[in-house]
Amino acid sequence: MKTFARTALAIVGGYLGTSAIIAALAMIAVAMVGMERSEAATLGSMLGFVIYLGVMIWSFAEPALIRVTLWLGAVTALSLALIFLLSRFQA
Amino acid sequence: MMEPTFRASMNWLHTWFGVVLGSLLFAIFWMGTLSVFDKEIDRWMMPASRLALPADFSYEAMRPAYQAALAAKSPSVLLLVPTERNPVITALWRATDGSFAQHMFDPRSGAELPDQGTLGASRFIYPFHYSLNLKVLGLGYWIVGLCGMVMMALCVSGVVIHRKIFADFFTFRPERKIRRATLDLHNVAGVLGLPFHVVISVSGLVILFSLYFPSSIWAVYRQDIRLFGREAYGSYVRPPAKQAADLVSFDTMVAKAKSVWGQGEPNYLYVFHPGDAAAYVQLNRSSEDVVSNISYVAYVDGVTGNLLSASKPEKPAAVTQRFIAGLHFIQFKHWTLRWLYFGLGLAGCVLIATGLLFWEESRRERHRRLGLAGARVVAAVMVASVTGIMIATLAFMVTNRALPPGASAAGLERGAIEVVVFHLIWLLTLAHAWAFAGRAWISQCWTISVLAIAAVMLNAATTGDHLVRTIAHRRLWPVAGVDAMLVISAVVAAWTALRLARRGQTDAEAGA
Repeated sequence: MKTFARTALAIVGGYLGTSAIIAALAMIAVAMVGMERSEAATLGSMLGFVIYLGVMIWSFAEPALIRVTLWLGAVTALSLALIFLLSRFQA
Repeated sequence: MMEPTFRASMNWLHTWFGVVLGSLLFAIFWMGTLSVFDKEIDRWMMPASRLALPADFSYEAMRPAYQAALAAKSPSVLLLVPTERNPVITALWRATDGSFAQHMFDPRSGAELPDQGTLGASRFIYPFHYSLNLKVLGLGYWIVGLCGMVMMALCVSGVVIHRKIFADFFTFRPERKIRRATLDLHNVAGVLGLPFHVVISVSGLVILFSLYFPSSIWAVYRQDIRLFGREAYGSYVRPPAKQAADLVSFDTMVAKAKSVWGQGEPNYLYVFHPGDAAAYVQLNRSSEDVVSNISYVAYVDGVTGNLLSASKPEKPAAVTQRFIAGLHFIQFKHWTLRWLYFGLGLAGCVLIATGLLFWEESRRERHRRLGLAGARVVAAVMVASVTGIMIATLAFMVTNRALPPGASAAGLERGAIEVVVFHLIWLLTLAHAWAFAGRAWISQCWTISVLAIAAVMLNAATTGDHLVRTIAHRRLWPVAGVDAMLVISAVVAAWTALRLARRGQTDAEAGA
């Protein structure tokens, strides 16, 4: 059961978290660094693979699963908040 | 499961991700390795296309292919320019029933070549590599994508659990117990090929970045998501005029594109709205001389031949993405590198297979003691996913040469029969591995050997292109290469079978 939770967190949680992070990063790059849209989107997407790999490895390396869950949850929530704020700001 | 140390946790990750996804990874690596020579296997499976590329090729020879698509009322037609490796004009269009049609035309006369009744390597082996040919909901892409991520995680964890990475590299003890030899081989293939395995996994993923990680594109484009294609790739679109007009000469269009490119030839011409006054043609510069996957695109008016738009990826992220994708696609012309990719791909296959084997061998005793029924199934799956897929691939090729042209059975066309045979034989190897647990490796190695020789002989019998003849003629070298690889495979498989059988005997004597 614990193994299942860890694997699910690494693969599903890691994917969703990464998606939120790269979306926020791409928006920041466009809004604050002035990067072109297509460039920010491509770069963010490519970074996704690296971030996802890191989260995956970390989910298995960290003894306390709750730490990964909380950290990943917090960063995802922060990213979503940033996405929300930036889209408000742009609109 | 939680392991106390980082190394132990990586060991756990390496073991279990490897065991669970190793079979799929092997299938992906096997098909990918064969795809390095997909065009050559196509020549082998499509005898009518074993042609020489005419030195004085005229783009106007593509006219009949275009006319055929026009007659089929297709909204667009993709025309592939013949190359040294693919010396035919290939046309792809949409038939009136919505299905895609692919036809080959002679590069000299432009006349249509007889239907070869096969998907060949480019439409079966190659798509299997990146989608497992699972089209439902694009599920295949996602499974392969996950395998790509897991392959990277396996590379990282594999490095972590190897303290003596360089010492292991020089250690090969074939004379010792087979389990030790398996692990040594796993380490050699892993360490030697490490940069390749990492690069090939990450580049495979980066090709489909917009499929796997679209959230960054959604975030910055939101409602006008389609603009991404235009801004990132410089795609050009315009609606049809609903007025008939003839297409300008192909040579004129190519000359126009080349005037923008400076040098280089197109590798394809994509005609939109054929027969319409607003027809336009996308010409893509061949990446024979560069690594990057997309180098330079030009859009030409199909009626006037004027340039509509031209673009070249110049922005850093886009250039990086195309370069990484190009590393994986190997469309550049470099035979040494192509062989290196093939060799390293095989090393990847060895790496995965020996990893699976080591796991199975080191636990076989314990599984037997515990009387685990599932262990027998897992062992059978491993046999079927290593030697089984090779047998299935060879059966696919043997069927291709054994079936007469235009054959059909049970409502299936020739090409579909080949695919059915592939899957049936693959299933059979699984059943066989389960039924003859312990001995299956040996008999399946012998089967590989026999099928590979049968393929070579059938090719000679049905086309007259035997090895002596194919080596003598430049245009038949792709066929010679495939035949030579088949002969080498047969020898290696027979040697492995003999070795395994001998080992089995000594083990039995030692145990008695």
